[in-house]
Amino acid sequence: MAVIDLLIGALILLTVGAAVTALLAKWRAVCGYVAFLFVAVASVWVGVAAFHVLSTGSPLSGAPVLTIAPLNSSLVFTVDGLSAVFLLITSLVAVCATLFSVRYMLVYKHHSLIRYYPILLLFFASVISVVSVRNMLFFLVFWEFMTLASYVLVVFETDNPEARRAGLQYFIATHIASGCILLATILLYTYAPVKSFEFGALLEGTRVLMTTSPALVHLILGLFVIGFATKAGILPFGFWLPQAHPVAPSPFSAVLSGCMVKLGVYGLLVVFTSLTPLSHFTTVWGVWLAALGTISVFVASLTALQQTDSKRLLAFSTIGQMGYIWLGIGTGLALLRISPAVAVVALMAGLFHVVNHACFKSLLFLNAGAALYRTGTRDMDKAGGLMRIMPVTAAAAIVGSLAIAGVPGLNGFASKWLIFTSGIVGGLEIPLFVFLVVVAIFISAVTLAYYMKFVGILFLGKLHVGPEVERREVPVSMVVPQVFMGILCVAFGVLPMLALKYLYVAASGILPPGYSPPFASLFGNSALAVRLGLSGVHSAAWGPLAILVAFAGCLVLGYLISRMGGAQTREVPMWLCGEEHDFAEVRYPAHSFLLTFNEYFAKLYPSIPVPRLPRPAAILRLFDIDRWFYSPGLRWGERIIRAISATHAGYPQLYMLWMIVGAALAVIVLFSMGGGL
Amino acid sequence: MTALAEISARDLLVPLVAAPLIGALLCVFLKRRASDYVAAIFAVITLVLAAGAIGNLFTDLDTTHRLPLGWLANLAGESGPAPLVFELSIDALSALMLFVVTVIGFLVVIYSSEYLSPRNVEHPVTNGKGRYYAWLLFFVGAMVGIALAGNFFQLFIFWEITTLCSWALISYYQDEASLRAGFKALIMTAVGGLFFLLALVLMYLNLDTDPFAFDALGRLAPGLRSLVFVFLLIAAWAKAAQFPFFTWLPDAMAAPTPISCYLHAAAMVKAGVYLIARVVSASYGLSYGVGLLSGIMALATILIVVFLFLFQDDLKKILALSTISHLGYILIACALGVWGSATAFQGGLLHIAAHGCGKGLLFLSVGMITYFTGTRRISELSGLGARLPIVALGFFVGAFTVTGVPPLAGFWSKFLILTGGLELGGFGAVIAILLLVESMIAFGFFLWVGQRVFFGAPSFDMPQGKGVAWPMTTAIIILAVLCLAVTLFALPVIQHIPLGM
Repeated sequence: MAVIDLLIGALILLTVGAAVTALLAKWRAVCGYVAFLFVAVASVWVGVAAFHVLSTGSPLSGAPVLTIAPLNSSLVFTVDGLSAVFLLITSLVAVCATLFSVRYMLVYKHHSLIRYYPILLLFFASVISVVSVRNMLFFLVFWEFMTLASYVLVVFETDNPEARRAGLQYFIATHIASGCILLATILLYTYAPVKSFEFGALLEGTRVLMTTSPALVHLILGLFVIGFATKAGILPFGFWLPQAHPVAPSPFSAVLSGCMVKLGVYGLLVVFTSLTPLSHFTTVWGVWLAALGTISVFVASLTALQQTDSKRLLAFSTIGQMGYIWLGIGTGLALLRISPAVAVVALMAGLFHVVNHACFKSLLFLNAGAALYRTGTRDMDKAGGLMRIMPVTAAAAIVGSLAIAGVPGLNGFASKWLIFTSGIVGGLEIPLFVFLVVVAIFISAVTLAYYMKFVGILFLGKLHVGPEVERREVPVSMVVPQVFMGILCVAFGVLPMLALKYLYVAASGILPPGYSPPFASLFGNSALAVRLGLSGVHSAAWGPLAILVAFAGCLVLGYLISRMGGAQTREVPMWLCGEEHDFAEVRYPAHSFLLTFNEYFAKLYPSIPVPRLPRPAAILRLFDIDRWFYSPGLRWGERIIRAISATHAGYPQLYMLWMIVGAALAVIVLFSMGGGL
Repeated sequence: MTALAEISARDLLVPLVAAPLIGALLCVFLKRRASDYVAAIFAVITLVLAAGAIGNLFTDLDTTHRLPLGWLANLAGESGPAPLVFELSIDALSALMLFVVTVIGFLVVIYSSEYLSPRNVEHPVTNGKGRYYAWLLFFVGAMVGIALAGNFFQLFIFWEITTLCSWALISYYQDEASLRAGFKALIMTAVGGLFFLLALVLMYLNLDTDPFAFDALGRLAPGLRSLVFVFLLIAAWAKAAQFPFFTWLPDAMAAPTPISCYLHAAAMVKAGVYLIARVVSASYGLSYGVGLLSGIMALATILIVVFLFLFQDDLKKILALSTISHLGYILIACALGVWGSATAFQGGLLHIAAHGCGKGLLFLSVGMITYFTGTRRISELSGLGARLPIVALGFFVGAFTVTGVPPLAGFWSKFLILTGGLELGGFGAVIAILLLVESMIAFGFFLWVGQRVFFGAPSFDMPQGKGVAWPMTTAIIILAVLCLAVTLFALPVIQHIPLGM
């Protein structure tokens, strides 16, 4: 059996799983475990296929499954390095989120699970399909199917008006985005010398257009960017994201942030590497992408700081982190023709952040989900100090928060460091990048601030929950995915070379053959440290182990000092200047975190009021065609008929007269025609 | 079995037209349950015969199987022989139309058996079912006749029969509103029919041989050809409810919902676009100007209608308006076909089938809502999804099909139309982009309606002891499956439909 058959097998398995879970939907817990079983097996198969591609470096391709002759398109499943990376992310997130769902979804007692597990499985199948086709037509089909499935899951709480509104906004926004992608695709298709939707044929179409009408190429690329930016949540197109992510069931929020928004990045890479030849267009748009990314980082991070809803905070953080990814990818694309070495590192940095963000953002959404499961609220003003009852969840949340904030030793730092380094080195060629990177670095501090808020208020401090809340850790099936994701965050942070080796296969695979410098010259030979060799010299290095050893040494030193000094830990009640207050009154709440700062930036993320359609009665009257077409016509017809009926007076003599007049008229007509009788 | 194998598609044509007509005659004398069974049996017979004919055709999709039936000696001209006027034939385009007409006709008959019952909350029906089925089957027969007509004259005869049936069926409840609506539909489509007749006369006067054959337009002088085409176009506008005739269609929603489904979504209004598709497919040398006229009028219809959407509160009227705009899509595809885009033309033909299934499904779903709740005002409905999950499924699948969400059928047809328009460039590209915008607005509106009606707190309690209304549920499920699968059947057939250049 060929390895690609594993992928196809996984797709079939997920579809069968959807049918099986639909039948089992009444048995809620069983349904969840069965779904997990299907997802786990399918994910392993997909993972094996993807890993095979990354380790051998050669793409896999299957036989055509379906051919649409009039459009010269056939459905062929293909896995190359780039899609393998996204397949691996998908399978990881899928397994964790489904396992988490099993117990989590039992909370929804009045919602049929037939709208959850079957759709979730079909969603995973469509994500897998999207990244493993090399034909824009089928890409679009699976893309829209994915959007459709995700819409159903976003509005899972159909009795919640907030969810309905967010779902509507989400689907319409992404549908317009799909419209842009569709339009751009068809435009390319019409100019392609060979009429086909294969990536290769469309690439030729772009090549033709570049010489004949460059403005149209900019339009097409702009449409693609709008389309994929909407999906990726890049501002100003990603306005749907902070509404839609919080209202979905938490495991699916994890999937949305961890996996689906990443496909915007995948689409972007496909457009700029597979549909556009390497040219000055790549450079120009690379700069634009990096700038858009930085704007997102800036606006979204400062807005995240103001949130008191835990999941909404995470959603804004997703926009910010996607901004970092776009900064990395944009840098890579802009420098591709100028300095291949820096460009490859920047692309890999972007991809690395994709992988890392998938790990820590789905982890954080699962944390928030676990808190929601236990306390029943997303409002951080109403719950806090959960570490006392949920130590493992709290520990995982701390790991995730530190990782996303870019604390050295964890994976977020490794990828952000690569993004910043390549951006600064790229700034030697295009100075704008230095500015963008400096903005992004400063905003990293804001990331740390709002995650301190998330962890500090939700998990640390004195326990602050209602009396109805059970005081114990969430079930094991919800703990395991969190721990697993946490371990991944640490592993990629300590051993970044582990991931970089494979990401290099992905990044060099999408560039023209022989374009990217060899791996060893870029990253050095050590498996434990990254030694960047940009433009031939050692430009930067990062050895996580050395830093971690230093950290550990400091910790030990601090502990020793406190031991030697005989410091005591005392637990005392809070001093309230002698007044008596309830803890809930004096507790440091989420909305007063960095208050002045937030007031200053409150208007940064504007809420645009939806314009109400005025009801211009005049236009309605204009379009009321009956008024000036049907009714007058009917009136006139009636008038004529009445006029004729007036001749029916009821006198036999009169009818005789009509007959004579008629006969005379007929004779005259016949004679006047000249033919004679 | 050998005898069966030797039956060719030609032999099935007369039984195919006759079966529903015989059923109609029988139903006149029957009541209640008996009429249900007889109507269902004849609908099945028609379906089986149609399946046989289409299956027979599949081996050889490029030829036309003709069955001449007779001529009128009086029509013999001075130079030529009397033209053939009664003739049935089947080719790929007929097969497409036949598929839509018989499959949806069958499902509507099944659906009606439960819809027209005392249990219907909106319009409890206790008698008059025989009359209903008689007209419905008569109508099915006429539609089959339109699909199988071998020339314009034959087509005109069945065309006028459908007008008559539509009048009777719209006015079925015989209250003030439905009588008015039936009359309005009759007047408008009959005026359109007069233009058809005028076109026939012009063809007869100017051609010596075969004046009514489908390729007759190509043999006329260019100026006359455009005139005849415009007359046929006016007839089609009236039938397919295009600007300025479209107002009869929203009014016709006074009809029982299965009738609205069949006449005003799947079949009768499709007769208009079928006529134009037939002309475009068979004629040579249609001028750019007539294409422009047809395209601009269809575009005007679509844009007016999308505006009217936003002021509607009646579920069925929304569907009616949406139907008008989708017929506009098909006419636009035909206009693009006149300009030489085979892709867009095929997209339009596929849209006949895709829209038939999708909109039919929407109507059947809405019918089930009124059956249980007695209202079709959006503002009075909410939270039906929990009580009527199958209806919710049907509504959303239907809405996604007509608005073009892949992988449902509407996506493929719209995709082909858009591709064709953009390939032509110039005005074609402008049309394509406007269509895309219209699609988005319609999609947003349908999604809003769906959420409003099916999500949220339930607005009514299902009384105890209500069955699941299986005939209606079955019809909805079959159509929902077809919405996904119809592309697979229809696309291979459509590829064999030529485009006259």
